[in-house]
Amino acid sequence: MENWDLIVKYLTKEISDDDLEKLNNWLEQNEDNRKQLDRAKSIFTSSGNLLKTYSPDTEGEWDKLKAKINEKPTSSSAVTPLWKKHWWKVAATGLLLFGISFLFKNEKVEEYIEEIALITITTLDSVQIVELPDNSIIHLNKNSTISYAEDFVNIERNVNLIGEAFFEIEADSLHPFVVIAGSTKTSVLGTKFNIKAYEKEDNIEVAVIEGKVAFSNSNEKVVLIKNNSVNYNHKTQKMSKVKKSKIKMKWWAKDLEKDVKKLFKKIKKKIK
Amino acid sequence: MTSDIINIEKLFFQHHKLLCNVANNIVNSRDTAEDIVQDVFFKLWKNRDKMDWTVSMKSYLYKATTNGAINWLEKNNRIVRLDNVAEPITNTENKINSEEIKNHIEGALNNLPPKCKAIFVLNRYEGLKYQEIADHLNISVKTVESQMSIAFKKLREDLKPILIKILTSAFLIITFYT
Repeated sequence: MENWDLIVKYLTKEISDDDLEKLNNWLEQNEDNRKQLDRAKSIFTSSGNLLKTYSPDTEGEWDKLKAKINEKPTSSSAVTPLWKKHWWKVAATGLLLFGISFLFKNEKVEEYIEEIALITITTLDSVQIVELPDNSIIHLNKNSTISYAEDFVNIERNVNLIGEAFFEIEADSLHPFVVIAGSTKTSVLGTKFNIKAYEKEDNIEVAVIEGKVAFSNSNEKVVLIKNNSVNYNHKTQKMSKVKKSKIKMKWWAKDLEKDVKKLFKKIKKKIK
Repeated sequence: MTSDIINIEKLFFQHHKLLCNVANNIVNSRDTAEDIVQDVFFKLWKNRDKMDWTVSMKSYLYKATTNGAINWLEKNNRIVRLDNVAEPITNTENKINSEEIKNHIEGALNNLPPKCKAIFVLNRYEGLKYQEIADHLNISVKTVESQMSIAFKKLREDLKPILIKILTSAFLIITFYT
């Protein structure tokens, strides 16, 4: 439609007098033109009226913001249990690697990450709890490794996993949480789920305990909800979704206390 | 520090609802909208010493929120849209169904390119003039004009299949005369 721009300007009340005259002339030319305007008007009105107003919980959101403002400058000096405080130093010592990581072979991220510190945590014969900077919790099963960039909250929250881990992810819709395991990617906004991706096994298994998760390899994607799981075989590259997963859940809740105590002892020794 | 907090608190309570609504209409998810607005205010707090507090803060907040929403859309169009998966329209009956029309229009709106949608929302929801939108988004009035044209063209194309229904529906009659 030749006069489309004029119509839009007219409908949004941005039309100049000159253009209005042009539009009127065009309308008088024939009946069809008027019909066209009517149609445009109906689209304009109905689509504009669909934009909604709702009342957010402003008080609650303000409390959240205030908490965030207040916590920032004091977070490092806040009273935290000894093991929690020093655990990081132990874990990070010697595990800090510099340089571009192959983990972040993501075209967007690559530009930023040149010399970002990478934190790696490896377990041998015990389960470990890892608290990420965004307050997400990872229960790392035996013989497993996770790694992530030190400032990972600034970009997408990317974590690399070899082995098995149970994730309790803090909701943050601005920074999707992505677990990279082998050639697969699991993206979430905030949920609980388990990933089993041991190197010596052909299968990667993702089971969702809460919320929603998107699991993908380079050419396929499935969305999983609560109680769903997916099995992916690297060799055949086959993905199969299970609606009711039968995974042996809650390994992470077992012996947890015992492990924490053990860890605490170990750390104490190292600090000395 | 306390006076800074009081300033920000004032701004927060003044503009929070409006900003959430603008963001929500762009990203179509309340949780995300609220996170975006949180982020805007948190950044304002972090940069409070560098801010020029004498200029209109409303316009700064608008700008930051709209840009946050556009960025989010651009990022999440590439990744996976986990929330707000639009219901496909399967009803082929010829009867007038305002819910169906509503869904269809909503789908068409969500199909707009991020910046285009933001401009559309600012104009249609907030009633901002082209000049004001141009100022908010640091673009020229000409760009706003052409983006509005593109928005309508796209909406018209997307809505073509149900145009007859739109024209004859009760939904429209209500919206038309209110």
